[in-house]
Amino acid sequence: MISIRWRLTILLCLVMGSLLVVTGVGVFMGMRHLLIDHFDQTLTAKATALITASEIDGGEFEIDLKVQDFAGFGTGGGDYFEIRRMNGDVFLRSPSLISAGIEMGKSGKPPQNDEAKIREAKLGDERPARFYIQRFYPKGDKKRRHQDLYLIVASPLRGLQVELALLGTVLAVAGGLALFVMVPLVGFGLARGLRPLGKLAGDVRSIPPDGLHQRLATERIPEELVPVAVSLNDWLERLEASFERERRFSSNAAHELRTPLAELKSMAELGATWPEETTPERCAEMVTVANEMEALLEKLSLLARTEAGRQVVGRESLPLDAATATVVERFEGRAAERGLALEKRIGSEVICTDPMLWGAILQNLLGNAVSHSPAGSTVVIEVSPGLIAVSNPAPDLESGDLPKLFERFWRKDEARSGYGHSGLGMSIVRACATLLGGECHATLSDEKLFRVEVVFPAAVVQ
Amino acid sequence: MKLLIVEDAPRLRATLAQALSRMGHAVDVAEDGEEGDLMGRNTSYDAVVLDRMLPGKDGLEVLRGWRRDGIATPVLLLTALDGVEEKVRGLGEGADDYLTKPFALAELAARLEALARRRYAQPDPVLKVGPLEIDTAAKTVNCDGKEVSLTAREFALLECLARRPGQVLSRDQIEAKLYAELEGPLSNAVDSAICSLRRKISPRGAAQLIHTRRGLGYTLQA
Repeated sequence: MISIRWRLTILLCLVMGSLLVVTGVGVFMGMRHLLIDHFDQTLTAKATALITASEIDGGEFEIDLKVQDFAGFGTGGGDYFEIRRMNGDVFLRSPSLISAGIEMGKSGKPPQNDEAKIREAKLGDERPARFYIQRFYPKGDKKRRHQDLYLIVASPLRGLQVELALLGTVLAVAGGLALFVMVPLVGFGLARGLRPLGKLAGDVRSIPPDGLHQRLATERIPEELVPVAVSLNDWLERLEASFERERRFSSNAAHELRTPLAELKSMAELGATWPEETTPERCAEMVTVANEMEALLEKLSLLARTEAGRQVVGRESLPLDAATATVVERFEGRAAERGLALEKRIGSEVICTDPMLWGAILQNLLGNAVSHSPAGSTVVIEVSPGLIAVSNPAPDLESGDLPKLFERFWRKDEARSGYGHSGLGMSIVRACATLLGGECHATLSDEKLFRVEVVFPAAVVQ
Repeated sequence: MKLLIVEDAPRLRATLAQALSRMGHAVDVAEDGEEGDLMGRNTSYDAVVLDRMLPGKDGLEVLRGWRRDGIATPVLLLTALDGVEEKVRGLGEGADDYLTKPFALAELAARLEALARRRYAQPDPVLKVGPLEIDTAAKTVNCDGKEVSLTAREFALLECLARRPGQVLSRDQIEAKLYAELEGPLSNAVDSAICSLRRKISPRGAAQLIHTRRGLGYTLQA
């Protein structure tokens, strides 16, 4: 996996390298243009000097030898000129050309007009050179015998080429060195710049699984990283709350199972140590404990399946009155014991739903109401195609308890002696309702009338 | 030993009380924090089994109150919470031992006996008084190397006297140690138990080990 530091280093080096190359090429081209321009100005100056120095003296064409020597056209000089007639005949050659024993080359075609022209071509010995060509009219040509002359001045480019090669080499070496130094410098700079990111990563890494209460400091980090740290802190807070919920759930689940297990074990040990203690009543109690544990495990299993979405929803036709009667029947005995009146408002429609999940909702709602409603009060059961609602007086319940109602294992009374009341009922109601596409709400009126309703959209039950 | 069980789960409470009674201990029970607190303050128990989570008044709250008010009765916390921090918290609040549900009855009894031994500064489970060797862990008694067979109640009486050798214990004190509050022993129960114990540990002709101090009570002395 490539790090941000290396990714940025490579990217920056590529960008800066490209810029360096472009700049280098630009500088080279500019300098080349300037040098050639300067070269051409010198060439033009030399040609102008020659033209100025040429005259007809006594009917003879001549150019001042001093000027020729000074301008570098003398014997052994580095520049060359040739004067030709417009028909191409050579009229005069510079001493340098004669001494070097070379031809001017094929670039000396007669000019079309009086304008001077400069072009690049090769001398007769194949050396590249700049050629200046201009038609001229020597002074003092009264007889007009030399009106068809043109001048070709050539200056070899070798010196200029050497200068340009040197410039190119300097630029290339400097650019290469800059690139070579740039990689570690950019890497180092990025490493320094990204240090807060590394520190943040280290801080996150140093938070142990049991240290989710820790938060990342947001005071001394660059402002670009503050939103990241704040988001991570929010995420840690949610994670901590989630872990705490899970821890509480595991702890509660263990607690709920440990107490009946302790009862079962103690009763069994008592019977094993003193056989006369193995009375039918004690054996029946052991069966009751085992049944309660089984019921708790079934609830946990149902809750786990529904919450994980693994509970298969098998919809079928369910007559509301018959299904409600079956559930209510189970609680009638206990309700009678506590002097509770069960007021039923049951529809007679047939709905399409999962009978097990639907029954679990009503059973848990009714079970809670029958257990927690004050003795002698009335429990109202409302069942219609889109609604299951159970309401009962709840004098001990506070409005602040409502959000906790659906928390797994939550009970108003922390006393955990209520056999058969694990505190899972409301969680199961909500999980089943969600699975059936419904929504669950709990309300507490000012008169302390507690009502839980599960509402199903019409489309879900048709 | 005279024990108090404070446990809100009725079945567990009843089973523990029955089992510990069968082991020869006098067991009182309380079903919530308030009742347990009151009983622990009013009666001197050899050890208390205190459930951690109780309705009304939490087990730790009860324990904290006792320790604050100088009640040093050994307390074994019994709980379904098995986290290390819970144990540390319980012990930090003044519990002498900690047992997580589910547990073995034998372990609970052994821990309670160990607590009682520590309370009476008798780390050795074998008490020796003259020719008597009383193994409080194995619940056996030897007299001059011969095993003496005792009922649970007789053993409890002998252990009660042997833990305080030479000290005179009144009938009421012995009753309080041997019988639970609800058992309501007959008026001569202690006398007849003493009589029966004397017969077994000091056969005819042997020197008496249990002495009667008229108007005061009984003492075990070689």
